[in-house]
Amino acid sequence: MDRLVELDRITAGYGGQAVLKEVSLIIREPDFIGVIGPNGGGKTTLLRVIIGLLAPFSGSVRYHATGEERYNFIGYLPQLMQFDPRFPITAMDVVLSGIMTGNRLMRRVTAKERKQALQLLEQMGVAHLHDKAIGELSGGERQRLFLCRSIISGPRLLILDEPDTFVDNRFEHDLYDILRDLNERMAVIMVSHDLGTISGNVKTIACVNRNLHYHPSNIITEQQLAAYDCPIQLITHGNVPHTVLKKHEPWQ
Amino acid sequence: MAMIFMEILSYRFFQFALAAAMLTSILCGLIGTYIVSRRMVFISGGITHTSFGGIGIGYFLGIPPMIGAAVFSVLSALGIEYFSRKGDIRNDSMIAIFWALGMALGILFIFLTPGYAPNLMSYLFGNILTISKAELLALAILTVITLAAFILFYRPILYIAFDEEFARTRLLPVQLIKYLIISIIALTIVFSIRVAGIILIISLLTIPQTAANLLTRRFDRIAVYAILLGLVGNIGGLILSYYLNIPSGAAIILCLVVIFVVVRLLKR
Repeated sequence: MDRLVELDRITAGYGGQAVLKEVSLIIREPDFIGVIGPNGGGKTTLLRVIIGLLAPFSGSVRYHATGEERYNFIGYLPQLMQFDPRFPITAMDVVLSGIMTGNRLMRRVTAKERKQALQLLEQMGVAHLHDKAIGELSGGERQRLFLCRSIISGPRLLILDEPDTFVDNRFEHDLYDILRDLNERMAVIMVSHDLGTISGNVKTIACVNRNLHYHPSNIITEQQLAAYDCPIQLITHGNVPHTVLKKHEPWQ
Repeated sequence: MAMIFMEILSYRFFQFALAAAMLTSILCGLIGTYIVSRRMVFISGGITHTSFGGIGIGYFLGIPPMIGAAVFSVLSALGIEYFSRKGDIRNDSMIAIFWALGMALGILFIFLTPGYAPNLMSYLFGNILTISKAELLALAILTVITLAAFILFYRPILYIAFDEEFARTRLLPVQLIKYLIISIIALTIVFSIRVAGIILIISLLTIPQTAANLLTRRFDRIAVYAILLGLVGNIGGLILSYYLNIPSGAAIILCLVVIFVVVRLLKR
């Protein structure tokens, strides 16, 4: 159980306002963690601290990576819809941006890397789009592309922020197969609003609502969610029976 | 015709003007591609007008106005970049403040300078035929540096422009590169004032690129096409202004717009 990242009593947020308070988490080699919690509870903030995009107010982040290893340590799939769709860049170049590192800014792209990028696009079923501009792709196609970008460097830890938004059902199904497969080689940590799908696929659950409660199983009961102070907005409305959430049994 | 053209080519001022037209096509073609791709047209307009403040201060202090403009514009550009990152003032509002302050300082300092009043029209609208050897040299050096930077660091520049946050996760020096490029943008603008003038420069940075963008949606190709279209427009405008005896800046912009319309019609 190699440790990858250790968060120790992290308090973090924006503009002096703490979103996360005293949060600790250890991410290990074979982990597949699903991050759930209410909107504004700090899920994305947690990911940003883990990646190093946001410096915490207090607490420490420790990466178990030495020297050069650090550059290809983390693969990141951000939440969609935050880029300019008219930006002049091809699908191929988007994927190749995943191998650029801060220590080799003048590196050229090798033929081997191009081939590797094409193979990844092939796996995701979007190889035919490699020469298209990013704006010509649909939401689902872009998400596949960004997934290629996040894994081409062969990271030790893959971080995904709501990868299942704006995608078609077919890709959502494929996505979890792909992620399970990737999890053989790398740790995965994923934010999702869809508790039903997430819990069937992840190994453990982190409930984030200002605090973090680590739940070392992929099955979680309403009672436990309540105890973790982690109210989840279910996608289904009304009294629809839920397959994953174990109902609190009357005799318990 | 060819004879007459050979004849004007023998004039030193025309050689300088031709060289300046070619250099600004390359420099503005490339930098404009970055500006248009990142939707930084308004920021560039702000930096352009801010440079007028530097020209005024240059006159007032008795240093070459172009040096005043270069220093003042680079500092303003870094200021705009810095404050837009802090995010407590809305970006476009802040650019408007820099824009107006620059023009106000420019006119104020020129008013306060005793004696000779410079010909403001040539700064506002450009006069490529009056470019000096030193200005041409500065333009050439900046063009070489910019070309080298974009060729050597093409991928990091492109990736940061496309998705800054992802570039940060790859541990690229995002802020450093952004500060360097905004400085190059400021210098490009200042050294192009002779060619198109403060009010018209924005056209060199946007019209060829917008036309090129109709033909391709790849950054590198937009840059190459914009440079080629810019060359045609700049040299065409220069020759037109010489023969018709009309202001060079305006002639160049008219040529660029005609090129844009032609590309747009051909593309249909």
